[in-house]
Amino acid sequence: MFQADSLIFRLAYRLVFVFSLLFAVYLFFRGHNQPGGGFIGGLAAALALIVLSLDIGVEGVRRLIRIQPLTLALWGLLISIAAALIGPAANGSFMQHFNGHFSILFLGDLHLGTPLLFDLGVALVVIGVFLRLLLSFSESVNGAGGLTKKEREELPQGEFEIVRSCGPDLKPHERGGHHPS
Amino acid sequence: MSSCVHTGHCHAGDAQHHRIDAVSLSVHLSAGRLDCEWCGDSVDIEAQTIFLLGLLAPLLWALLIPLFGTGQKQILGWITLPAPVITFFSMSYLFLTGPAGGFQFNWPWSASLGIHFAFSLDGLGALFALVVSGVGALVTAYAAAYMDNNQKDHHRFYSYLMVFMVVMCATVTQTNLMTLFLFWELTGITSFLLIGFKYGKQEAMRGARMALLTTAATGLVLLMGVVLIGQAAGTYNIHTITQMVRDGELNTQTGLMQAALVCLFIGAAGKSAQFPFSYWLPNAMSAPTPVSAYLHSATMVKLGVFLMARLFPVFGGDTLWTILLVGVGFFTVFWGALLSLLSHDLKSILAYSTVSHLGLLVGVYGVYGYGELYADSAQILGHVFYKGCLFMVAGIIDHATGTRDIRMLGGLRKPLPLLFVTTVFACMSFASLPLSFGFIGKEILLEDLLNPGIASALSSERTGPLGLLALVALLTAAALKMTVALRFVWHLFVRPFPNPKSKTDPTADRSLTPETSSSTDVTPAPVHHRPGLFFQIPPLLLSLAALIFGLFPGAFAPFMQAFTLEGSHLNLEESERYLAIWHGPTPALGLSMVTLVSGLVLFLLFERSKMWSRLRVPTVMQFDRAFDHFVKWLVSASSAATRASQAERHSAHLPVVLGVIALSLLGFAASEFAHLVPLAELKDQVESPALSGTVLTRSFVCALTLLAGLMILVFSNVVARLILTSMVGLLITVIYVLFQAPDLALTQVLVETVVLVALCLLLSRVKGSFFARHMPQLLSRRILSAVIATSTGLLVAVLLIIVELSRKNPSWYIGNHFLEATKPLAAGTNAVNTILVDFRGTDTLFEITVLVIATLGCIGLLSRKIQKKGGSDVSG
Repeated sequence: MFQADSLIFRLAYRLVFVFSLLFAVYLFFRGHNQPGGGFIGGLAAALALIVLSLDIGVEGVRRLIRIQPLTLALWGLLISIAAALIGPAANGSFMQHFNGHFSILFLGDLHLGTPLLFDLGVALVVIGVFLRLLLSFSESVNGAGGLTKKEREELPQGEFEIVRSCGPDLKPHERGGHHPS
Repeated sequence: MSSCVHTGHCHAGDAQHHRIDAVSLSVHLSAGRLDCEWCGDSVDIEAQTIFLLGLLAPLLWALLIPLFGTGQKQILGWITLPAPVITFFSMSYLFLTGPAGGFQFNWPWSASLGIHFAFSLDGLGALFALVVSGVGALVTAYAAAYMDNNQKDHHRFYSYLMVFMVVMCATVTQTNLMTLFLFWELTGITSFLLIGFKYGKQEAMRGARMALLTTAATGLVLLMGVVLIGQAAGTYNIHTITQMVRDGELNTQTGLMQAALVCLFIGAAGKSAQFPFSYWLPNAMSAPTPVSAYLHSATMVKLGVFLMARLFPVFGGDTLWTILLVGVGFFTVFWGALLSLLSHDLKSILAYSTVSHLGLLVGVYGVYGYGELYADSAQILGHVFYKGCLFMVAGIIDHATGTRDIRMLGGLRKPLPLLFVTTVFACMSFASLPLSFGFIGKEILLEDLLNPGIASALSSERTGPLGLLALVALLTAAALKMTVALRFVWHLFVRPFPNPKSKTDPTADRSLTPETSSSTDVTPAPVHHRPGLFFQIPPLLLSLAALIFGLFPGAFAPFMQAFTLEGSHLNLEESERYLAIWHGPTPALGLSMVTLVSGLVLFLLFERSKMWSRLRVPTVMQFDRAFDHFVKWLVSASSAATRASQAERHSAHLPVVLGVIALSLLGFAASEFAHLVPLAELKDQVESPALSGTVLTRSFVCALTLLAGLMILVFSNVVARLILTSMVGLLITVIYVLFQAPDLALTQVLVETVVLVALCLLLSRVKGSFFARHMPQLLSRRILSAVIATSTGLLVAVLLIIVELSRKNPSWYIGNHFLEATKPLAAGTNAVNTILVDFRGTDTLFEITVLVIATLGCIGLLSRKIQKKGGSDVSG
């Protein structure tokens, strides 16, 4: 993975990360009444994490979010399904939503509803899916035959090669990037 | 959004549902009933609860059994036993207290398609439900003794068995053909799991696969039949269809209905092992014996018979129906009886004779197409009693002696006296001896085949000499069954141990299990562990039932009255027929006696000439090899098709995909031409915009977008092209902004960014020369690409213009509805978002599901594995 050497860039990445993540959260919450929503918020959050990975590396991002991206996506799917099942549970129809207004000290009127839960699921799915794919891409930036540093250390000794588990394999002259020595 | 708040009994605004209910739901108003607020029909909440309890109790047990312990735990059988008992009692209670025509329960599933979970405990449904749960209870008790320390994974066995019971009960109480098909296939899957229970054995795997492939393939034909009949009748509810046929609204002679009949029959024939699908049943005998007794003799294989009974009021008397059922059914009768004579494995003998009896049951419905359906429940129950019993006996003998080869068994009367009595009672029915239940059933059928009215109808010009064929097959089979039944009793129990030296090679019979063939050198199997009393009680109960109804056939009359299918059975009170042992010296009785005597003679001949050991089932008649060849051919044909249709490069797929889209849009435009012409007149109403600053800005951005698109063609460098593509995307974002669609713009910006990042990352994986090599070089190819791209673009443009024009036509334009409804219905002001999460929320749910699935596919493409150079895998 590219990892910037310049301190300026690295700090800039962090700043961009913080603000774009905040923006993502903002987009997510305003979705019901203003442009935004789960899909957009999720995409923005995924992008923010990709930017962060330029600073702390792919492994760093993985450690930071603690949970496997795909697991995150599956949780999102579960949350969405659960939100959709609230309707039947309350003698309504599938996908029926409920909204409520709550008065909370200092915050004033707060509008909460099951659409938010559903949208949260959507956002988690989007974050999980895009992180899973983009992190994989950036990890294997050295080409199909290339290895991450970690993989290179763990490779068993001897005459071994890395191949794609399915699909046509690239010929050596078609691979770019740096090959393991 | 709108939905019935009722328990789900019905659904508002569903016209078809009401049509079905008008017929199928009997309206009763009494205590404990609730009126549905939509359709006014009433539901008996108490009955509904009891039904669900009975239906789902085994499922609960199936989930709970593993909690009581895994592995070899004999106690699990006794823990399981309450489940089928609960089902049996709840079904009996509902059947006894139900209104005329039985309880009907309806839960809509996909109401707009006419698919409901429509349960009905009418005579036929109740008969099968009681057989399934009653025999289920006996088999569970039997299995509690059968599953001992020689068997593994008891919890798995009982779980599968209970799941099977649930789906089987659900199948036989369904009146909606679509859901009936669903449960029908589920019984096939549970049967697969149970046949392959000892999955370590080659034989079990093979038998399981064969059963699944055969019943699933014919099941698909059944689905075709269901869809056809649904198309013809406009409903899937069999009660409604019956009613329509009776009222003359539905003609069964149309091509659609006749095709449906053939398809439905093929489905039933596959499940009920009719010729030529009979090969799977003997192979399914590698299942544990309780499973064979339960699924492959008493319940699941009778599903085809059940379907024929359900369809009898619809198609009965139809020429094609008669030809199919009588022809195939009675040929199967003969075929099964012949093969059971030639087999030596106890379970093979029973399997082939089951095939024979199933043919009889199917044939009965063909014969009675020309008469009133009479005593079909006696035929079905008779088989359940004696065949279930004999299977259990075979299992006990296998358990006690370690072999199922009849040639190695003998003299079991002394060590197993109770079993001997049981077997004699059951074999009396098997051979249709007088004073047995089997005799009553066969007499009735013989009388009807000899009945001049039916006989002449069955021998008309259209049907050919079917009546004669049926009669000959029935008589031959009866004689052969007499022989087999005599052999069963004589060889197993009465004769002394045969001399091992005089045996010919027992491996000649392919159906033998490996262990029996390997134990050829030992002396005939002695009883090395005696079965307990509990082990022998379930078969004894079944054989006693067969005996009692045989001795007192009058006792069966109330059952027969109860288990009738409304409208298709003889009204017993007006009928002159009655159930009795002695009907006087009728021709049928004479023929029966002739067959019994010839069966006896055949047995004595075989016994005298020591023919038994020379008999074997010819390989050709087993169809096993043909089946294997077919499967092999299927696999090679499929890989040939894959090779022929798959291209290695994505660039080869793209013209096809885009071409299909372009063609289908063209087809849409052509088919909607009539609608589009008046639309064009609306053009005048679209006010042509005045030349203002906004218009200038929009035009400028559009021109820029177009320019960027054209530049892609000019540049040959990949990175430049990529940047230009991205630029087109971002310029489109600007267009969205100019047209005041902030949601779209936001999404577009983010998607463009993500795609650009992904492409940049991917591009660094490969060298530029890779692209140079894979770009279309040929001029013809480039022209093709250009044509496809242009036509796709043009079509999309035309579609957009249509959409834009249709804005003026309120009936075409749905957007206003969402804009108006977003605040009151979805409590949000952003219509785009409320459409996504609320109005079309289910779409979104499926979309994110697809997203996750697509990611799993991508991971497959991206994942790499470590491999020894030029060699095999090291790690995954």
